[in-house]
Amino acid sequence: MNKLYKVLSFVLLAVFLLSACAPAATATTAPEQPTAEPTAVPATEAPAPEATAVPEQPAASTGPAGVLRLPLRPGVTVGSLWTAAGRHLDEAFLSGLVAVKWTADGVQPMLAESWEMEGEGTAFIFKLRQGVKWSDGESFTADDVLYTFSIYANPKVGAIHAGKLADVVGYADVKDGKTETLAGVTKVDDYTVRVELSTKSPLFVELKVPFISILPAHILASIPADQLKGNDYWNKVVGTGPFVMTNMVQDQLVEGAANPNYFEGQPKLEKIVFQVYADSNTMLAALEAGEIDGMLYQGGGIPVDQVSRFEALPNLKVFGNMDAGLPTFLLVNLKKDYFQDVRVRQAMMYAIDRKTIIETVKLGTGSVSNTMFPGAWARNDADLTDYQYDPEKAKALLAEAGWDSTRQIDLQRYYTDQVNKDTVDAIASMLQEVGINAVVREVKSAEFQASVDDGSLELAYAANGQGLDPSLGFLVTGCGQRLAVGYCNEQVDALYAQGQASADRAVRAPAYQEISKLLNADLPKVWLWWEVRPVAFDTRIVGLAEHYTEQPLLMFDIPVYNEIHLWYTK
Amino acid sequence: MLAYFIRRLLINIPLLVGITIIVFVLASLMPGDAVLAMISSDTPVTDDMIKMRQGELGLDLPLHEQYLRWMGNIIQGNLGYSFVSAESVSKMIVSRIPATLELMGVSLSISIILGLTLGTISALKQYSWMDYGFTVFGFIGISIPDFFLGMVLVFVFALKLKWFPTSGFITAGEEFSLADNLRHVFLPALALALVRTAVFMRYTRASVLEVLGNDYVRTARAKGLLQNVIILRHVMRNALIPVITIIGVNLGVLFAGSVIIETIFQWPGIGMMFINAVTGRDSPVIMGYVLLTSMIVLASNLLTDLAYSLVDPRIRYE
Repeated sequence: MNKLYKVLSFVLLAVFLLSACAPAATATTAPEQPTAEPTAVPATEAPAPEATAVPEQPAASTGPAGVLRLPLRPGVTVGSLWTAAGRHLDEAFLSGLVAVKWTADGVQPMLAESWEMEGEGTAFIFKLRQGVKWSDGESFTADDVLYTFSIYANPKVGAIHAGKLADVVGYADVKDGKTETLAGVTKVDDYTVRVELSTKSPLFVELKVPFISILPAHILASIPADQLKGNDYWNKVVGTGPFVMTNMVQDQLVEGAANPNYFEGQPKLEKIVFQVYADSNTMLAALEAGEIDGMLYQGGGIPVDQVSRFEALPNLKVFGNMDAGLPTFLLVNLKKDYFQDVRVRQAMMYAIDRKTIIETVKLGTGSVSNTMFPGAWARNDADLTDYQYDPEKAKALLAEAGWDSTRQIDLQRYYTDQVNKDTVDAIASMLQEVGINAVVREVKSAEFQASVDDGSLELAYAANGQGLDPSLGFLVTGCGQRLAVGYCNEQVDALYAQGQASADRAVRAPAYQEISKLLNADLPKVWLWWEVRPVAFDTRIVGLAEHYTEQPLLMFDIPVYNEIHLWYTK
Repeated sequence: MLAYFIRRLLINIPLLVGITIIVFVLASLMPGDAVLAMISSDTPVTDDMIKMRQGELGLDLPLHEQYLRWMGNIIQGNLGYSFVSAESVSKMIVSRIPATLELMGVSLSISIILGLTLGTISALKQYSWMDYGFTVFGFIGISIPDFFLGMVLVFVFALKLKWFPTSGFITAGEEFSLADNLRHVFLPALALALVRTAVFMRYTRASVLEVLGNDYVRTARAKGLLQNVIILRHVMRNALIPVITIIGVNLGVLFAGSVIIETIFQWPGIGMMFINAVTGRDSPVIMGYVLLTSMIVLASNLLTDLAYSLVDPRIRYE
């Protein structure tokens, strides 16, 4: 009996001591010496084969053969019509007429085999792919396209991408509730659809159509529009995508099996599993442990201070400098009279030592920006003032503008990871240095959004995904736009219109370069840098990491898995 | 007795209404609403779209009207629909209760078994190195927050030793199997169990020590009973009564779940549903959760009071 007590208590104490010592070990070894990590695994007592595997033969068998496991954010499972990140599910289970190519140079045919532009972009005629079957065996036809466009536009549905159809003839009538059918979308025959636009919009197919996932009219048309959300369909999506949804458990996972009738050919993978993660640290731990095979834009990527730790893992290919097409800036509320003097915003530009922040806090990731557009073709850097760090000049500008340095300025931050916390703290202290008394406040996203609407916003550390096209910048710098928060330059608006009048980049570039110049001078936001988003993928999936090697940037909301049917497990 | 029971039941109704009003007001004081929580500055949404969605959800109504709307539904037995997913709130709760019950059940079992065993050992070997060891362990257990312990357990047992998975309910891509599921429940349950183990252990120790000093234990020893028989038959039986009360008080958490541990371990229970609802400003779900948990607390208080009169005939309610 006595012996038993001793053994029992020894085991308990040992377990406890082990766990008590462990965190100290991470704190000291992880940041400085990431390469020391793998050797720290006690190979002698670990039963797992991974520990003894030699680096040349990474533990490729950490996951089940033929299964691709990807992470997902919670809330996505509500159905893709209502969540931006829902497109990850759409690309697996549904298809659009076209899809953005992962090489980011235009779109490729999907359910539309080809399309023609009428006039200078006042209408498009889509030739649909024939012989495509929905996963329940019904044929895909023009009726599905007609139904889908109307349902996306229907205000009772409240689809997040409804605005993408704003240029389609009849959109206003649908929006005002006069009709539920988009008049501009008509059926020429069973496999031909004509979409008429109210304005010249030559980029309609490239910029708008990829966001519309075609839904099955034969299942959904009988459901009233206001009951579509929460409908059981979203738990067992019938689609035309590479996988067929087999299981969906809220807050847990979504599973799919290869679609044998996929129009691009049956996927080589047998299964796809989306595992839901509410906490991004949990997601990273799962990736590190080989429980999932990749990550996504919405998880926030790997924090830059942890990249080297992930690079040391043999089974992962890490993209530490993945461009996120993400201009990052201080959002300024221009409706506040004390921010209206451009010299105040200039002073903030001169006050923040962006180069040093990038080199130190951000560990060299990202690049300094002096205007909005991340795409090099959309700006002419020679035209732009570079606002080199100059605190004296900042002080002088503030003095000229009559800045009141006793005024406390609220600086909101909704990112919660350490690098972003440190970044915003550095910005605040640099602003304080020149006499702008910025005080950082951590907020939830909903709180930040509410401050935009009720006008209480002063400054916020924010970003805006523009990887797809510079035209998206209109939503944050166009007159009357919500996130323009008071900025209005009619010349900029006219240039945005000009930039969309052609599909030819050479024709469009001068317009955006001119906007770049105006945004550089007007400073509607305090431009900081273009952000990177480090991501990593397990090399046991052949095709996944390769795909991202060729992908020039991550685009918000656009997962571009359009060759997923060719991927397979080692 | 019956009259007392009915009176208590009736008193609980205004209490419940009061709780819901307070929570409803507090929830509405959080900045932002369900529509604003769903949009992201990465994909800007136009003003009129936001207003339209707010109108559809009734978020533009005055607060008391929103509350009466919700209350009206409750009276008809309808917990309402999530603002975010339009799913029925009662369905959401029912689908997440089993996972929470499993996690909390396993964690309570671990802490009861460990707590009683260690507490008894401590008492029997009072002032031995084992007793001191367990006491230190108990203090540490009470002092370490469970989320920190959870992260430590993941680091040691999932990332380094690879004995257990880092998170989740089952292994992604595999068929459900009980063994796999139990492997997943172990770490979060352990993280939750430690604090309660420490509490149960200290109570057991105190209670066993008290019983050990009683005359009937001395008598049992005097008549030459085996030590094990004395402990199991005479000491434990009497010592457990106060401990069982403590365990009973802890039963409420079986349904309430743990917000933090469920989030860290991506455990699809009711705690995670609640925290997602709070960040999403999804007030029907917040209110559904609050209603459920407060009903459980009120019901268990009532049942405890009734149980006292059954256990102790001297207590009478009129």
